[in-house]
Amino acid sequence: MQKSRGTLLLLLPGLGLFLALLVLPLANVVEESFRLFVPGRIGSAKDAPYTLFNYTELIEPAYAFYLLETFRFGLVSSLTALVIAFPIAYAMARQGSPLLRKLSIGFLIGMLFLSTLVRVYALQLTFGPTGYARLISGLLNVSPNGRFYTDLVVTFGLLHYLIPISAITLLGTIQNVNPKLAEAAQVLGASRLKSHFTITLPLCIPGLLSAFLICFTLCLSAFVVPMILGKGKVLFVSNLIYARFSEIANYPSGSAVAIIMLVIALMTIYGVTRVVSTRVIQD
Amino acid sequence: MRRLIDNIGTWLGIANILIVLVFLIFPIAVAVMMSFDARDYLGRFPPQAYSIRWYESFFSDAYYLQGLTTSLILAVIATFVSTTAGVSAAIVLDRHTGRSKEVLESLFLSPLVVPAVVIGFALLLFFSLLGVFDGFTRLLGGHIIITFPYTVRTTLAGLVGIRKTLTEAAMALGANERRAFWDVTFPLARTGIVAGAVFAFAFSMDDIAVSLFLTSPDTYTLPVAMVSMMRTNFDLTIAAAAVVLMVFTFLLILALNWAIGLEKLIGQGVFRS
Amino acid sequence: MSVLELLHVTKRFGAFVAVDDVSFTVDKGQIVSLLGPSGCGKTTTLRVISGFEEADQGSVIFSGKDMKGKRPYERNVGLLFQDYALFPHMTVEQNVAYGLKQRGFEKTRIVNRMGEMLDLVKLKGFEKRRPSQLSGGQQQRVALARSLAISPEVVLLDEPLSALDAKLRQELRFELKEILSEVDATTIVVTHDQEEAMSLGERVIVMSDGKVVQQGPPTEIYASPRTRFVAEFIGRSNWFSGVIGAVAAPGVRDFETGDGFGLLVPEPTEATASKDYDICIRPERIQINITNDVSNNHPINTLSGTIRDVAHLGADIHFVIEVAGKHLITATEQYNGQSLERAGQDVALTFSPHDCIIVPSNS
Repeated sequence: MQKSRGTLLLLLPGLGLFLALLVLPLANVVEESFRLFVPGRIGSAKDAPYTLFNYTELIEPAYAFYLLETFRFGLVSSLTALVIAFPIAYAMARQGSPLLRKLSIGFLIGMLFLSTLVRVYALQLTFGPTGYARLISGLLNVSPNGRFYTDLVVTFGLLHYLIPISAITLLGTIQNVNPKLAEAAQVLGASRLKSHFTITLPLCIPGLLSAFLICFTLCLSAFVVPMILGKGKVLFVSNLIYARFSEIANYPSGSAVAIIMLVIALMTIYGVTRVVSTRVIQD
Repeated sequence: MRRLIDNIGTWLGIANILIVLVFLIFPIAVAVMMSFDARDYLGRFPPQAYSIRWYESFFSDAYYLQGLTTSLILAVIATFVSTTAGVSAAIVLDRHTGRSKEVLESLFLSPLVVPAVVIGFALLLFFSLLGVFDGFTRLLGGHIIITFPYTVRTTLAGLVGIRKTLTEAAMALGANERRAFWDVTFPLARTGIVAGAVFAFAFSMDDIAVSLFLTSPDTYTLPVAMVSMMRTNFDLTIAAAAVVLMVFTFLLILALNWAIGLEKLIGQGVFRS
Repeated sequence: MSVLELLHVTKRFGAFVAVDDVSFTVDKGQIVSLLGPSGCGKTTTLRVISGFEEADQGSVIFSGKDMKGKRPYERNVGLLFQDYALFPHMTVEQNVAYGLKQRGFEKTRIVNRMGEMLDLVKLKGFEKRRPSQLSGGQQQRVALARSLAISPEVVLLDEPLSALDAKLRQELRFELKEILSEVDATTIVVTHDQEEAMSLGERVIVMSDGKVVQQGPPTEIYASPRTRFVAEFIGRSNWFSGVIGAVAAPGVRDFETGDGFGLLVPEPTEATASKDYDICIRPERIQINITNDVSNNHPINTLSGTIRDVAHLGADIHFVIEVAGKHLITATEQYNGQSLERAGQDVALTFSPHDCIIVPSNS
């Protein structure tokens, strides 16, 4: 890549912003995560000693619990979203009418653009005490204030975003699967359902995998959904960071959690790109 | 001849779509309807009578209005800065190939991958370290870094779609690199740039996670105002605020559709039925 | 006088030599075809001439001026891309006028010239249309008008007819030559299609692996290819490999093929150290005789065989004949109203020694 003065000039604003607003702050967080926190202060002291305590403390069950909670929600929500979104994406991909396509894609994109807060608030109204909490929890035979119901509402909150984004991601995948292949299977005697299970679905596996990983990463980083719909009972890793910061100003510990969260997110994204690139090689 | 299993499959598929539609739309409808609730307290859904009292409350509440104004100003400035920097970066990325280009591209798109909480937290610590305590500056920094990837990505996607032979044709006809860019590349890339700006604006208005960390008592965005109200005074003014935000979203989608058409965002795929 | 001269041009990409010591000249008003398979270096040569790539060695000379270091916009070339590269956001007239605008001509001159060009390509009245509203043939004509408007010293056409269907190709081929001769354009046509190359070019330059293998008029390339590659690349061929022997008659030598046929072949133009040669005979040069009564005084080659397949292609008939149990020969005849030969018949194939093309083996 030849660098000329013009190129450097064009890159300068972007690089400058990055250095100032991402790279240096993150470096600072890494540094902070290794410093000792003395309760009562804000953040670490000026010359606090270095320590691994912030990280080792996280292995304790109390903290590992948060991570597992987040993982559990992530897994359940992502899988559910995929199962629900796949048929929808399929219907859209094979849709003949351009108007219907445009409307459905527009609808999904609109759902994505919707402010998270609006989404969460709307769900709170609908599934909270002023909404259908009593009805639904009654149907499920659980307490409307109980753990199970709260978990359910949080999952709804996640799904409200995950389903549209999965549908759109999978739409891209399914569009690239040749419909003639499933038709060939049907000509050979398979029922439509079977032809999709044995032909179309396996061909979509890389797309499904990447959609899953995208959903999973989004769940891991979820903040507003558990914060408001979880009513303090459901805590994701991101809420832990916020608590560290707002309640006890334990910046070093918050930093350590943040770094771990970042590493997991990066590893998952790396996984996505590997999956996608192997698919390209196979093609 | 359709088999039973196929029919069941089709019915399940239709049921799935209907349930999802209801699931996605119904809560929004609830929020909209409740925002017009005539009762002066938060009662059970559905409302029996309607009024615009909550909108009056919203638009006369200095706390909310300040949040809205701050959100809008932040969005405008952040979009402008992000778009300028993003377009420049996209131009460079489009012109080159190879390892360093890929690394640079990943770097510029990385804020999409870093959890918002981590960004907010990191910026807060960093600004404190630098001694930057002004709420607006901090919020602006946060909004710029989270909107930047969108401008880069959509502009780059637009640029990639422009055949290289077009700029070469211009050069063979006598235009130097700079003229070729302004005469050929830029007009064709315009839709990508506009789309990027629309995305940036929308995500700046929407942001809550980063803003929560960087807010200060006298400078806050509308979503931050709504969250604090949810904790203190959970009344339906929040519903009115939510609907106002939704209207903004809808207008932005219309703008996006006018600029580039929504199917182009997804593409047609190789096989069209 | 020569308008374009390439002298020992070499271009490398890393270790790969794309263009290897290529030299040729094009005189004013000539149309020359640069022909070769994909990867032979013809496109890179085109890019070196137009200025998008700079030669590592050698020079590109336009009317006596060395073009070294000159960017494409500093050269006066007309470039017609394979995908036409019409600016989609500009109208036809804006497209055609673009090059003129870059040269700073004043408005009336631009409008006049643009009108002239559209007249030339017979697209008067299409000024306000957009490229997306034009057919493929029309787009090509606009692209041609655009590149000719600036009165280029050299016009470079990159696979001009490849995007069109067969019928359109024939029509446009004639029109293209007319237009180019009307403006007395010095043209290079780059193509992998031998029909395109031979029909458009007064001279054909055959390239392979970055080198110029042979150049000359189309008939010379077809009738007297100097290497096996050139003979195979142009037209269809039947091959025999073997060893050349003694003189059998004036200008005729004996030839023993690998599978034991005895043939009479012309005197080779290139002498090789070994006596190994390949013989090529074009399908249309073979006569198919049903009877074995082939009395002739001149030295002639005769092979007996059986017809394996007959394909009636309308104007031609293609035969596949099996000779001596293994060797398959293709022969063609023009359809003259009655076809007498059938599959399964035994026939005698005859061809003159002077119709045999002899090239060194492994060339």
